[in-house]
Amino acid sequence: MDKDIEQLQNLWLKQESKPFQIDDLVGKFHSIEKVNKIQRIFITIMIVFVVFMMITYLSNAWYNILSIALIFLAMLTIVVPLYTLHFNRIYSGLNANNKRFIESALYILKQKMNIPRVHLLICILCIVGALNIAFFGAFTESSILTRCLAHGTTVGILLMLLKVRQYGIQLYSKQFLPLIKKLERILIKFEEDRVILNYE
Amino acid sequence: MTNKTDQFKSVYNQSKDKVYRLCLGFVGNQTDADNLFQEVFMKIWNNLETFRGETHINTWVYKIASNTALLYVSKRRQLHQKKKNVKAEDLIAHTIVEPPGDPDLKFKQLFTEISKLKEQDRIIISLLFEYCTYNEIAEVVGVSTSNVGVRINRIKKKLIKRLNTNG
Repeated sequence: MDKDIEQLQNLWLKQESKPFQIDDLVGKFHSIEKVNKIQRIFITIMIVFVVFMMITYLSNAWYNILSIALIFLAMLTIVVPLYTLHFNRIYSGLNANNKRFIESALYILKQKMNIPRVHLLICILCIVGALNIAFFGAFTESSILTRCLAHGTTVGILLMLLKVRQYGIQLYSKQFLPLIKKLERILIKFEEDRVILNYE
Repeated sequence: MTNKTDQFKSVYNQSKDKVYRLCLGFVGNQTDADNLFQEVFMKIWNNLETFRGETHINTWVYKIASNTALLYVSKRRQLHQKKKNVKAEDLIAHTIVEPPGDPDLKFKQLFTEISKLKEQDRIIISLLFEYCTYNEIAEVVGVSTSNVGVRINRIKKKLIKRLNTNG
């Protein structure tokens, strides 16, 4: 059998990689890195700008402060899990052995599934709450009809955002559920094999 | 030229053939192997700063390549399941059909049969063919060294049996 395997190994080693243009590949990686850097800077500037505008433009009334705090909280509930899951865990996991990587990838994917399910729901409720509080303060002097219309629009916004969340759940399920099932299957095989081989 | 670029080029030149073989053995067809190969080197590029020299560079590359391959096949299956409701194993059998008149049938058959093994078995046999020690294989896969030894014997038998049956 060892002779057969040796022959197979010789066949295996005959296969070489296709000639890739390494400089083109490095150039592509550099440009992707650049785009990611610009995106991160842009998002940070946008968040700082929005918060700054809200703080300076709006009065210091309690309802404005509460609204700003809720919008800030809404942003954090989405940005923090996205950032921590994307930048920290995936890349550190890749250096791990296959078993640890699968466990880590499963954890990340399951946490990602929670983004539209839990985090987005909290974010939506915070945004709608912030709008209602802001309208409550802004329309104190207005007629009942105007106030009802203002608060009514927040119900519309709530329904629209819940629809977006529903779409997000479906999208994430389609994208990640098959991957989760597959990785769980591989992990079970790992464990089964380990038990069988140890028993033998 | 930056230090990172130099380091990447050195890793690339040193491991390109090994990584390509691992990719081809894992997916069983050249189109997917090419895509996976590029994905692996993109991950290597992104993770180059995290390499601290605690393990041999080859072991580090194999870990990234095999982990990327584990996710890659899953993504591919997902993509195909969107189009048709078929199993990935069936798809491999279709995609490995090579152009007629190819002289080295046994050569292609080897990669095809390896790609039909269980995921962790594909990785183990690929690493064995690359002259990795049992310790290195155990470190990449995440099982004990004795476990690797027993498993290699099984894979060898299975692979030879399949090649003889289909050859």
